[in-house]
Amino acid sequence: MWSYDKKLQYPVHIKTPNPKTAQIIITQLGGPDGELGAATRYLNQRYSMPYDKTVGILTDIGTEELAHSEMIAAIVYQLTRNLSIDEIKASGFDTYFVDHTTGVYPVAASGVPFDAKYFAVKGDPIADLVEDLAAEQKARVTYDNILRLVDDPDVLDPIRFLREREIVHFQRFGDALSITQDHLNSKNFYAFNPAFDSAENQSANRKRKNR
Amino acid sequence: MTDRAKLMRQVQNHAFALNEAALYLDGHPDNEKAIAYYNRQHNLLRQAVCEYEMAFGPLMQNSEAATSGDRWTWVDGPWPWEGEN
Repeated sequence: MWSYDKKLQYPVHIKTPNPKTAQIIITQLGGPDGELGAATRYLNQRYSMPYDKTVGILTDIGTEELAHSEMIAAIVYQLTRNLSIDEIKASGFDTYFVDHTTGVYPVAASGVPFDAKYFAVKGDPIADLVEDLAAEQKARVTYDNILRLVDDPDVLDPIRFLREREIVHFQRFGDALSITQDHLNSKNFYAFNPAFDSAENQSANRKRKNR
Repeated sequence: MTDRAKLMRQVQNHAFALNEAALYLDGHPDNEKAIAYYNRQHNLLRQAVCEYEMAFGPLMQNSEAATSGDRWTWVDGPWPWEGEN
């Protein structure tokens, strides 16, 4: 189970509200490569990981992603405090406001709500870990794009921290993939799925493939 | 029931009692009886966690039992969902 620490992983102190920026950054909560999808992806992939080290990596990174979704929510919250109706209308935030007021609801920047289709759990360690590597890179690119679109230093600072974490997680998932491959047949990583095939049905599987 | 499962059950019991008290206290932060109950359970939980971790390794990543000598025991199974506890 989980317990909550009453702190952000990295500080968020935004002095100037900016609803337009909030509408862009909220994509890292509810968008296709956001933190909510990341946490859910990793924490759900753990159960079919056959090796302790990869389970540990998914558990700890998945947990950190929950903390990142809190940081994104904190950024969105601080960017949408004390807004006037005129500011809301002028910034284009009105399309979000009409449905959610200034509550934090996981949507992509386009307004599309969060969807479990943004991630996969394939039940095969190589397939899942390669997805995770790609997911970290896609999240890194999204942060790069946010850095291109935003110029408030109060916002840029935590966004740069989060971008850096994507790179570190990519490296750790690289470790996880290589740990997994070390357990497999070096001549054919795909000879069997270590999350599913037992010793008996490995040989049955081989026969079927060779038929 | 194995020793491991027994000690785990103790941790779960005290942690659950603490959690129930915490939920109640969120809505009644000045209730003296609830505070006393929380403090009692908190002590019991600390003892139970300590006993479990000494025998079977860390329950939390930031516990002292996460390392043992030269080893990062945090990563050693079994994991909670494997049904061993």
